[in-house]
Amino acid sequence: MKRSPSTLIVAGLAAFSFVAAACGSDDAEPQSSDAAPADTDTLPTGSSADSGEGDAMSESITIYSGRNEELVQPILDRFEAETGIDVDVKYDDAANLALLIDEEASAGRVEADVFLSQSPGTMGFLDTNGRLAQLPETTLDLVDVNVRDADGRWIGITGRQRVLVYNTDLVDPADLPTSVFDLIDERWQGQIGVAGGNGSFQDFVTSMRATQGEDMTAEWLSDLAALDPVPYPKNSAIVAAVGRGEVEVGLVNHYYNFLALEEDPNQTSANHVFEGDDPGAVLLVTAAAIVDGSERTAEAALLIDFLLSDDSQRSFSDDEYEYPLASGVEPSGGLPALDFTDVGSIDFNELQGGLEATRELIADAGLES
Amino acid sequence: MVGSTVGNTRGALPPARRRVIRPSLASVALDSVTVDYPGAPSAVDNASLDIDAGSIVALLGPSGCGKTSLLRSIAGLERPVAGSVSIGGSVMSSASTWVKPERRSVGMVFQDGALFPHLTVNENIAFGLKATGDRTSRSERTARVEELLTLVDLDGLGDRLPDTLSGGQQQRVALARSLAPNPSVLLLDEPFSALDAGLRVQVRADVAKILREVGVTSIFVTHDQDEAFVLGDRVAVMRNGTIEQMASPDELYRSPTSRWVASFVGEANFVSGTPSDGGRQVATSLGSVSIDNADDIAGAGAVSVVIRPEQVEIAPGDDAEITAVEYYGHDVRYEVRLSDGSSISARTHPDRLLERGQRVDLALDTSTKATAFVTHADAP
Amino acid sequence: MTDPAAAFTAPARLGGSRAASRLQRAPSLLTPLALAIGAGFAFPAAFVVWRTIRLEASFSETIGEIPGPLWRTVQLAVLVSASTACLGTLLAWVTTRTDLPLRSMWRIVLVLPLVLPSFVGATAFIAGLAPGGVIHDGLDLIGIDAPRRFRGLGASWFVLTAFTYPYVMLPVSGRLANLRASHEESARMLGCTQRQAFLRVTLPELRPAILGGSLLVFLYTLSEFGAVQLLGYDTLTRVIFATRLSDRALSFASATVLLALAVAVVVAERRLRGRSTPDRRAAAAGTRRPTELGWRKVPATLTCATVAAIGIAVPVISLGVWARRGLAANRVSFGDLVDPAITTATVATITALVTVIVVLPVALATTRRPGLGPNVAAGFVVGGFAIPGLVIALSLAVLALNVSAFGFLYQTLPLLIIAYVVHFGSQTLTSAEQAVRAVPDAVREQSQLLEPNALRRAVRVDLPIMRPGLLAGGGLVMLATLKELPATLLLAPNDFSTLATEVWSGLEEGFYAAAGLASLTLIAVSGALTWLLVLRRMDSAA
Repeated sequence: MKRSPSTLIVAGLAAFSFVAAACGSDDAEPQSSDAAPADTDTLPTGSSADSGEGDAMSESITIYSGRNEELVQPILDRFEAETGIDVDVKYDDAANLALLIDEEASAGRVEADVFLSQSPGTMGFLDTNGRLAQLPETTLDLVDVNVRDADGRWIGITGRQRVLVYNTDLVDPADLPTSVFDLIDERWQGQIGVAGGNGSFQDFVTSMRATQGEDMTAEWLSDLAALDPVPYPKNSAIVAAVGRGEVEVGLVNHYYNFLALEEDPNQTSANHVFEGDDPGAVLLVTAAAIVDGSERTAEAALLIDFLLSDDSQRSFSDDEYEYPLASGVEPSGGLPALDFTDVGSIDFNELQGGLEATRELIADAGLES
Repeated sequence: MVGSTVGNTRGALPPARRRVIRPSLASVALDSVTVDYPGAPSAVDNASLDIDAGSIVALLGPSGCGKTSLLRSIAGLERPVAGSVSIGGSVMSSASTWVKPERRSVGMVFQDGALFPHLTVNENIAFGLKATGDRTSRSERTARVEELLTLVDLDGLGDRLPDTLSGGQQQRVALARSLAPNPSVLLLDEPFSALDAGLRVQVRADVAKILREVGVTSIFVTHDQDEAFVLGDRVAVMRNGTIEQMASPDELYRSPTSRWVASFVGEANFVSGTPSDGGRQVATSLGSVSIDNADDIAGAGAVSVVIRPEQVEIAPGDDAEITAVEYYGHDVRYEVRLSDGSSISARTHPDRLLERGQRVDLALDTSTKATAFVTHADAP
Repeated sequence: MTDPAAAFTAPARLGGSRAASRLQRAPSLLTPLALAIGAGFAFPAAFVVWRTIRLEASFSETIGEIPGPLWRTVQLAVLVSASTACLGTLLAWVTTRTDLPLRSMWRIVLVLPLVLPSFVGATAFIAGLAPGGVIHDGLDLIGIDAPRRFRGLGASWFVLTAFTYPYVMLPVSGRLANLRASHEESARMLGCTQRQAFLRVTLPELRPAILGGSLLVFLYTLSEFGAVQLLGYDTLTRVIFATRLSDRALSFASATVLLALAVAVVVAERRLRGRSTPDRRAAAAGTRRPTELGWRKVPATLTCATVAAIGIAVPVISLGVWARRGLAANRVSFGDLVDPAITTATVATITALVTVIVVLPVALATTRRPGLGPNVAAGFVVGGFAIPGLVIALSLAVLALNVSAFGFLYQTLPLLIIAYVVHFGSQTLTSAEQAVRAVPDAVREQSQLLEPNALRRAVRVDLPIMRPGLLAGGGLVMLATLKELPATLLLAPNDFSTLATEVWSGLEEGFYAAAGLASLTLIAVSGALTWLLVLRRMDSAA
């Protein structure tokens, strides 16, 4: 699929927005400096530490994973087998884990070494609060500059594209709009499933703010609200609702429909990708970061490298239908081709008010619930 | 606080009280009533009973004899599987008829009082006045509650909750409550058994007085022979679901129709003897006695005679030995062992007090006739 | 309850109540102990308020932001409490007081909806409505079109009622079994029809049980998140969750509003229980004839069957369909669930035991030393149910992280169990209070004379008599713990998974097969534990 160069604007904004973030983070704890990640001796905790450097690898590492166990655990098991490093994992909603990491850091404790998130928004929250450490250049180099934090504090692992899922019984594909802006049409009155309170919708709106501007985003949101879209709590609920014909279309991430069809091949739902550089087709990254203060940064980096290895990337893609982000790894056959270097991502940290401004925008349009 | 003492001032009823309590006297007739519980022998087995309007009848028997089931079938709380129940001449329950309990005009006082804990004394008493079809006005209701409170001597306690009353007071409220709708028949299920001993005698006297004042047909269940005799005009003795005998207390005591009734309604010595004169006389080891039920034993070889302890006269002598002495004040009860090893009990006036171990002679009071039963080989 | 107890409590009552008031004047550590326990339960609430103040949340701004969700929350909570009060009472009466066929089976089956996490129940129910779903096809058979959309207030009301009525049914059944037959019979003898007797006598006596159960339902609805979200009904908890990262002041301020609502309702319920002093006498045994339903057996059975179908059969069938698809495709297996099942059962059992031990002193205080102090303590215990599990978990995490004395507890099972106890203590309180009341005054006085050692007295006399009540209370906590999710996720040690977390893990991303299998296992484990540890022992105690 051909992408127009203008999507690259998104990428450019990543760099821009970090500057805003650095300037705007006033109440945050002092962040670890931009020094190299190996420089771990300044870390504040007093817990007994294995040496985090050199060849002496620690025996275990702790991951807070906002990514689903079913998706991540098989890869972590392989990491354990290959490196001999025990991986302790805490699975929860990414937002809850971000809150917990923040509370731990406020109390001067570091429990997690690596944070895996399925939404860039939670990374932004932690980065703004100074809870993330610098990633090594060698790790950052594994992905395109577009899909990592401009300042190197988090890195994209896989990509999830925003799509319009539709019911194949109820909708003629010819009727489907080419742009998310064309979705604003009476044809879809009361027929659009939206997860306004969900992180992925928020991240999509944040990117729209970045590429299309505040006013246009606000207008689109209120036009959308005027169509009486049907609210759902999350993507999987929208896909299920579209599948059973409760609504005709829904704004979701692409891979939920693949998983849903795997569960029930008879479900009558399909993805529709908006054309070109449409903000409705933005690629949202799932990301990894090293928690500031971790004494096992080498192991943490090793793990992130492992997630970006060809094998892991392929299994994210083959088993879970996500877009691999590591340079040179092709998406699996089931996925529509996507030249990820063409699709930008956004630094969600502090885009003119960040997450809070996005939430307010959505809430003001009456779409949050 | 108005205590549990009975007002001695209660004399003739004031006119107002007559206005309030106006029972429509009704007779009660049970014909071959049988009550079954699943998986158990019949609680009531073919029992028949006729109760005159306005009388007070005690259903007396040991626990488990079916007396409560019989009472509940009069109330309509149990449906007999056979037989009929009539009140005031109309059939309440039979194979083809069933009148619901709330339509029988029957009041009932339960063992535990069963006062509604969420209602005040006044509200408890007024409860039946507000039930279906009762068109009593509010002021009339208040007046009746007041009168009933006075009747049971609990004036001033109307606003209390049941929880704050003594057991005796609760029982009197229960009585007032069941009298309020002017029932034709009042049923009382062991109404005093939940009270401790001292209180029981007092409340019993109160209730007896109230029932006589009101004159309502009353049937009460008890396992206490004293209670049955003191309160009942007539007493029906029940055993194993059947009515053994129904009679006045005096007749029951003097002329029981079975050995079991004889010993259940009071202490009895069974003295063996030989009838003569067509059963009119029986010769026993203690002397000869005249027999009340001569026809029953005429021709029998051996009989046992019911001798009440007070019919045994004892005097210092030689025949027997006193083995126990129980001093009651108004009389003394002795247990005496005869030369043949059997024991007999005697009650006498306490003026000639004898001691344990003393030897005595025994004689029978021959001024009254006694009851005798034919002795069977397997009789106890 | 045993007959002899009934026979001798009544006469002792007179002396008994005086003796009880004598006892009440005796100095005791019970009230201070209850208050200390209450303070523990109040901690998460205090944390919420403290955070709200520290984050400098503006009260007026908060109120300005949330009038809609707040009003919708109140509407839903009131409706669900009212409907569960009616349904729970009706089912309790039908299954304990009538000659309904198979009523002992219904008594167990009708409790089962309690074992399903509500987000699972809602998901499965919604799936059942889809074409090919069990409700959709079932309605099709009788010629009714299933609604295309099932959302909003009505849907949330329906689903929450279907899953929470056992909170009312259980205490009301217990109370009905203990009520004296003579009260209702007295009413009949005083001219009431059966219906009037129920309304005028039985219902007032059931009031504390109905109110207590409805209060739990109300608080449950306040803190409910997953199910109402799935059903598209926007409540206060949504604000708390949606803003937890982006606007923490608003999030905590909303939680404070939720707390204020809970406090108001707890206080109102304590007032409404009112003057009806509970019957401290043991129940009269004796024969109580079940009410003959006659032709009404048909509608009564249909009602029970419909409720059971909605609350348990429909979800189980939906879950079964998912699980079968996965098992057939070899994508899931039971083997992975053995460890979580064992963990879940162990932790839930320990939690139930600890909760009963912790809450019992409060129950003793409220029943034997009634007064303001014990009432406040009880209020805190009850209020814990209204605070979303995530908030309780977060408050305990912050406590362990920042107070060095508790630091060692962080990310350990004990802290998780503490969170469960705080969240679910309310479910034991009512049963524990009833258990304490089941020990008749006369028996207590008698045992004081026979066994001077208070501890041995408790073990030999009080606890055996309290056992059915305590088991019932512990059982409710166990069921709640088995399905608890947010606190488990946040506070549990790493690599700790329960059946509920397995279910969540599956549902979150739409792995319905895994979620279905884990849910069915959860239902099986819940049922087995309830029978083994609670029902069976209650029967043997009776």
